[in-house]
Amino acid sequence: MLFNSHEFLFLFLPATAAMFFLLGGFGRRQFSIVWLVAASVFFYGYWNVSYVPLLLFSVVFNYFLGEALDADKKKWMLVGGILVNLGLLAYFKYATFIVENLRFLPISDLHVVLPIGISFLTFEQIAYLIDTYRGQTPPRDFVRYCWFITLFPRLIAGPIVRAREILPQYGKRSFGSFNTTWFATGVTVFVIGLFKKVICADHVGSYATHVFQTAEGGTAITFFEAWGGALAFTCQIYFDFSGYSDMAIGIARMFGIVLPLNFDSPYKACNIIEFWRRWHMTLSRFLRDYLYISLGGDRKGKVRRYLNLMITMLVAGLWHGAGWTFVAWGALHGLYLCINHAWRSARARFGHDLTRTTWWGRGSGRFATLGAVVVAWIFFRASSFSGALNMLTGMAGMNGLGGTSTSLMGYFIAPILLLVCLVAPNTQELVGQVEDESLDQPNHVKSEDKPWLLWQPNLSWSIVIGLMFYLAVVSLTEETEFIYFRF
Amino acid sequence: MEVSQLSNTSESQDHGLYLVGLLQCVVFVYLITMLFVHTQKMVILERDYPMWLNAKRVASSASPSRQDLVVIGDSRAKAGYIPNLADKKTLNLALTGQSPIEGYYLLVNYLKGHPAPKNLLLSYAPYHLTMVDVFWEMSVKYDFLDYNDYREVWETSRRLEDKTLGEKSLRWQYFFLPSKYWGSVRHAVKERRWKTNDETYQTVVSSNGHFYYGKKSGSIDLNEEAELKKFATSRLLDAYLNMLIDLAQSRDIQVFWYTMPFNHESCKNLPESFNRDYEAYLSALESRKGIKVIQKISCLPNTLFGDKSHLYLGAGANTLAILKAVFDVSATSPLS
Repeated sequence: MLFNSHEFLFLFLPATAAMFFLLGGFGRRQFSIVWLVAASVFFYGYWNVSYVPLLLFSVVFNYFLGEALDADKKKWMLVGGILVNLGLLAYFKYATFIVENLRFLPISDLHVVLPIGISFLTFEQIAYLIDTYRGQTPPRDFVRYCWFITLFPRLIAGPIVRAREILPQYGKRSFGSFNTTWFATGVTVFVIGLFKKVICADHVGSYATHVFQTAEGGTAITFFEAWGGALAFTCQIYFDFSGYSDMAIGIARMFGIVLPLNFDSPYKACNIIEFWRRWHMTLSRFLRDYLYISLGGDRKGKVRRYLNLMITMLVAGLWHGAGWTFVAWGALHGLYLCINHAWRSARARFGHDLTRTTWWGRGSGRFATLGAVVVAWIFFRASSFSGALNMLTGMAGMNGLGGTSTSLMGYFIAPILLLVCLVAPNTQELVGQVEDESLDQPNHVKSEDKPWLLWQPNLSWSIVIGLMFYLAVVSLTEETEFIYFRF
Repeated sequence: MEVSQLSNTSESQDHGLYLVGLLQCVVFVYLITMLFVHTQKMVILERDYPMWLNAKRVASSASPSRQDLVVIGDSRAKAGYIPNLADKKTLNLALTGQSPIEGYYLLVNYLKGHPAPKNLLLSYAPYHLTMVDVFWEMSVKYDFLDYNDYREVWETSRRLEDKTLGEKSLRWQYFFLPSKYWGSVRHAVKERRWKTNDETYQTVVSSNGHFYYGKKSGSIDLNEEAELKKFATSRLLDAYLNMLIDLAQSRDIQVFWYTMPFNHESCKNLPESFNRDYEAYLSALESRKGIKVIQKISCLPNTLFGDKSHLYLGAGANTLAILKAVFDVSATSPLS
């Protein structure tokens, strides 16, 4: 079931919330949590019921392994648990890719359907096992663990959360009882996310799809078409995924749960290191804490540091999809990070104060970062290297400048949306994030820059948000999947 | 403590009022929109709507005048038969995307207020006997069928275990969901449909139901049949075609079948098996129902077509061919 579907908006979400608060209102917190687990499993099974047993197996296996690790911290159990999780991911996500690339294997036509959200589930449960081994997981029982893992707002595509962020929230007053303030802000964040997905991402995405498909077909792409398509996808993926994350955060907040942020205006980043602190923040911190640091991080010299960065980003690329274009995307970002770190080291060696910045330094940094990110998105979006190279050739102006009438939309809409990304406050700055000490990463509270632009619970904003919701709902002519559902 | 409680209560009230305001705004805009889309279809819907509206109005009007020939069929018939060229009283009730389902109800309504025409020409493209392509997007969206007709269609479909119609829920979606009209509203503004739809309506009124779709001086594009692999009739459409013929014959109307010509390009790409199966279907219909098949699949030069499937420069000659075939036959028919 998609967040941007009529079934979800008008049946599933209202029914789940109503029952949840009804049970919570009668003081039956344990029942309300069981209800939320049941609703989440239904939400998952609505997509394909045959994968519900896999979800349940994964939850049961990791819970009991976690209990065993709690009682006896044996490293072989942790390694075994991680291997089982990675094995499931490898089979469902990479088996076809491996068979396609290792032609000597006596297997062909391996059609494995990717269970939705398996990449996110796997990372969360690996994090849970490692945290439990390290003694960093709070007390829980089976139902609470099920609740933490299956929580439907973030079950399919994150944010990737840790047990220690979510489990303690069960005991808080905000959870289980209806709170008008939380509900109103949750609805607002959700509507902004829905608007970003349906109005911004889907509209600009149709143009990106047209250009990339043309490039895949081998037709020469002109300069303006190629840049129009590249910028359109740059906007599409941001509005799509950050829209999804806003919806997840908004729904969770309606239920009295705080989720960590996933996006903090990433296209405003002045360098690539900053970009990864702002883009898919919960994946970045997972990769940093459980992979990069485990590999040695920057503690084993410069060469190892760069090697670790490359390995981490290659894994990030492969995590996104079983394809060489994703590996190329990860490699490019690894390279960008290495260059960025080397540049910083060089500046420090020459006595530059890295904390001091100038407006033109920030401006040129932002421009270069965005350009590098846009080029990398080409590999992320293209289905093949030939398609990607065709796009890059067009962007270099080697196929002429002009475009066709279909690219007009790309010329105008993508730059306008990009300007919004670069100038406007993001959802959390607009609405304000609820502070919660259980979250590992800092929350961004209301921006004080433009107070007239900030959301307030008043009539004007109820009209604005109401119209945004209405416009998004009437635009739901067809349900489009979120890009990150494929990962 | 008390100050904090007061502040919390006031904040909670603000947020409560905000939620109520938001809900009121959504409900208000929804009601206004639905009222608009259901009452102003001429303003927002595509150019086919005025044609469907005209056919519905003609069929449900009352007149003592008897037609010599009524044409029921799809858009190819609408473009390919020009009533004003005939020296007899003829009427074109063909419509874009019309299938035998709408054709049947059109004739039912027509016969309620008019004397039975002498002749009825049925002209559906072969692919309109294999699939329902615009039942929801036109028939239901344009309010062409009333609720009882719609229920009868659905029951027949269920009885025949035919899946052509898809989901039943689509009907209420067209009634309640503004998203079903959103695309139309956007295009309406861009295309100034309130103006063009009025012109289309006047055109079909003055032409007795004829309308040109494409106006190019030739087309080499392939029509729908050339893209289909095989001819396999839908049970539902076959049932409604039989009901349509039975209804006409029960009122002593001579029934003809005429397949509008294909352009040469489509003919070249038409699978042989498709042609064979379609001809076999028509032959069976002819012998079983006693209708007269004037023309099966035939080909004309690409230059006579205004687009891939509709006649333009060839429409006049095609009309004369139909008139000749119908009235030559009907002159010798015992029913005439």
